[in-house]
Amino acid sequence: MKSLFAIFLFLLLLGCKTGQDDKKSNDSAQISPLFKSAALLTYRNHAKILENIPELAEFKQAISTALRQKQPVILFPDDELILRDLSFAQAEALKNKEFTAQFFLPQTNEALLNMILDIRAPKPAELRKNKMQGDLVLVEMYNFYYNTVVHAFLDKTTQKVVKVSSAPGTQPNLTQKLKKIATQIALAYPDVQKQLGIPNAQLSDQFEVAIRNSKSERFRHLCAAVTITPKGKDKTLWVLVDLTTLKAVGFQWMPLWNPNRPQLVTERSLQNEVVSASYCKDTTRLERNNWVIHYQLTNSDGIEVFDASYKGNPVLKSAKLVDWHVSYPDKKDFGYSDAMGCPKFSSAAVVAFEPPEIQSIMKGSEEIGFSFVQDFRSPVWPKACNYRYQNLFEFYADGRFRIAGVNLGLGCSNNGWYRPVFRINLADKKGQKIAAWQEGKWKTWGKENWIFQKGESNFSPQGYQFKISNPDGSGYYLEPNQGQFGDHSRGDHAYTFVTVDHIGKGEGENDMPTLGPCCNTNFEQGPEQFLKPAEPLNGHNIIWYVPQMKNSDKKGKQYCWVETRVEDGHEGYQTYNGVVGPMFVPFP
Amino acid sequence: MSSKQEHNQNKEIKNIWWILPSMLIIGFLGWQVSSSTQVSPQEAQKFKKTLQVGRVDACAKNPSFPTKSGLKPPFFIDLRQADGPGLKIIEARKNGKVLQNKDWSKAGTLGPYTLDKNGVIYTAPIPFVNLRDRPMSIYNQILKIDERTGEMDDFMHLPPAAEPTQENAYGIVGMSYDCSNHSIYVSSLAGSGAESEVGRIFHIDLATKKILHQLDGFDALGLGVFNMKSGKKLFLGHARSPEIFSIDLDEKGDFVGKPKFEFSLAAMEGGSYDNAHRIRFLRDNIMKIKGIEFSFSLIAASDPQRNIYLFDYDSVGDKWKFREAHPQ
Repeated sequence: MKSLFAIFLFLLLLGCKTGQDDKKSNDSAQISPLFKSAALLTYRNHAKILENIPELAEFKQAISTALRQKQPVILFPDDELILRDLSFAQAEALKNKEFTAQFFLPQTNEALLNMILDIRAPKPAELRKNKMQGDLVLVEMYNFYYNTVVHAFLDKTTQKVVKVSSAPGTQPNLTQKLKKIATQIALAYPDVQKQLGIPNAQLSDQFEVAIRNSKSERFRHLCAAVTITPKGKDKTLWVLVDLTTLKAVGFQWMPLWNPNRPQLVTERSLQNEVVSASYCKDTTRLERNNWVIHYQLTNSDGIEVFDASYKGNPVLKSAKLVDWHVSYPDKKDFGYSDAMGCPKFSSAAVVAFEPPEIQSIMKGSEEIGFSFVQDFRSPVWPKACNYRYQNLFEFYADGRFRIAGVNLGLGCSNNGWYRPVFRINLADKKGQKIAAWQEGKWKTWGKENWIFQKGESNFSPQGYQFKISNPDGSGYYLEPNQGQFGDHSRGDHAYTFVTVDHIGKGEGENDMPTLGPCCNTNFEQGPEQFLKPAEPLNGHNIIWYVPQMKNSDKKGKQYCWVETRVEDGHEGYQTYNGVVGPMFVPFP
Repeated sequence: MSSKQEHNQNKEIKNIWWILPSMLIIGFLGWQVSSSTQVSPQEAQKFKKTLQVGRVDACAKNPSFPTKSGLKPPFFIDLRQADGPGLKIIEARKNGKVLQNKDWSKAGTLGPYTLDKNGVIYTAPIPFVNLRDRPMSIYNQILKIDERTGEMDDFMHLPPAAEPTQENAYGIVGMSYDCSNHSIYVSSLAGSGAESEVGRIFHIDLATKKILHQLDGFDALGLGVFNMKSGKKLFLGHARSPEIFSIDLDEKGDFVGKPKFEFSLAAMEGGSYDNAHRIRFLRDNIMKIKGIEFSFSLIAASDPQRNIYLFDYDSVGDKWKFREAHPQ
């Protein structure tokens, strides 16, 4: 009984502590303990930060030269060849057709970047895996485009290639030269220097540096972990460096390396940790261009922007994108209801890898507002049946704002339809009214209702579909996208639903798992369930906005699509964004 | 403070009344587990001597109904959900015939499975892409497919540590059969969350549907049993890290002590930050681990990126030696 009481007391204390911790975490948005110890270096000016590293410039030059050569390969550094009698191996391997089979893209004959990273005796495991024996030498090459290690085994006596094998998705050994470049890249970032408490990129002998294995699971690049341990400290700073795009990915403080229980940082683990800790648990406040907004990543409704005000006046209670309905009409009932959300502990299938990107909107040299983009991806986008979506918000200094969704392909075929479901809750003063442009005039809706944008007849001469008015005469027009916003969009073709804001009835003020089915082609996209039966509107409205997009891979007309291409000898992408979503224009 | 935070705080206050009793129950269960089976050293030694090193599911066999339906062995069980939901049995040859009973697709997407000595298939639903079509409670249910008729029925529901949430809809995720006592080990993540690891591992007698033993407070994804020189062990793929653990089993299959760290998939040459999704033991005492990205979100379901890790049992050192890792 005593032990039971002790357990109860312990749990009681634990419960109290948890509550306090949560409160603390909410009060100090973006400075949770994990955030202080890990960060992604996305959206930095990498070119500027790395401009003064001579070895990096030299390496970039070597890449450029290699890609123009008959064989697009950077050779093993002469000064790193320990056993001179192995020098024949590289030249001999490069004569072998199987070893050099991935030097050019078959479809276009474009040069792909390769690099010889090791010449050595094979390890016992490599011999066993390849069923080889004898006095052999191994040449290890990395193909940056296919993210593949290629091995050539050569007989030392005959000096001929006896076997070639490749291992896609694996990481090669790094040359000393590459390790040095990785270290220099890592130390060039002011964020890293700040973590180490050093004024510049120079490390004193008070630090121990080692390069450890890591992996770029999502971008599938060559990756190095530069680990830096301040002498006498019980922690190590891991800085991940992408050696394909030649920039740092991020950093994380870890316990000292324990060979008995090794704990590694990889691209995936770092992204998941930072995004979860900084954007899923905490709310961020942003003040800019006359606006104050709050945002937080959700479990399955993308990123939610809430409590947005313009010049101190509340404008938006909440805006989010609750579902992407994806259907393929040539295959009956085949498709997905995709949810976007947090990378860990969420009911999302397409998740955030990186923080939101905030950029100025310029008109000439004048900044007229800012855009706010949160990216979500399937793990191996842009491979088939993987998806990439974005929440896009634009806030203008003149009080306009846009709520949009972006589709970047690829999906399962070139006959895909995408129907994102937006939930928009404008800040209302009691008695807000909503009118639709119908039959040439503004017609106030008295009851919950829905409408489809049939074309000109639904738009006022200014291009507005709805007028949302407050009793004091202020309000917003809803201006659907007809391709006029300069983003190559092909219009919204949206269904719009206006429903009563029933707080606490599970109609979307909290996270919605999935609202509607994937494959309906009519108005039945989910929100219709909230207007059965249609109730009188009471001045507190929710706008559900469901635009429609059809993808295309037709040359010159690509939309909601992505194509893989060669970029500096490695894999790159050309995206053809499909953008939907209305602008809100203030009046008077 | 923003309205989102105010809202969350109000929710916290409302929830505290059920959080405390739940924590009390969880804590009590944890306490129960920590006082797990006490076996005398003599008994343990005797048991170890009777063990034959190797896998413990070798008696499991294929069901007979696929052959009756015109399929020619060998065939394999397909749970990839590539062309719609549900289990399929496919002849293991090019353009092999596919068998899928209507009942099987009605059950929706399924995750783990195991076979028993009679050819019965045990499986469980898992969430896939979204949570639209099925109640979350279904994910802690074992289904059984009759070896003669192919009919699918409920076998049993397992008690979750806590109700599933949108933060974690997963329930049963791992299964492994033990021939020695016609039982299965089943892992469930039901109730676990970002801040609380309350997963359970059940040892279930298939003849009586009785839960024989239960280990609480460990989120395991893949499971596999192997008789080592040092004793019988259940290997556990940790759902929250790329680490593999093991726990000793006594002669009744009960858990002895606590899970012990074995190795990390991420630390293997060619390894990724993968979670061990399936742990199988092959002939010649090879441990085959299928690694996937798993983060308690629904991305794992549609993720085609899987890596295979192979380990050889070193009978002299009584340990596992890494052989290789490669994409599936």
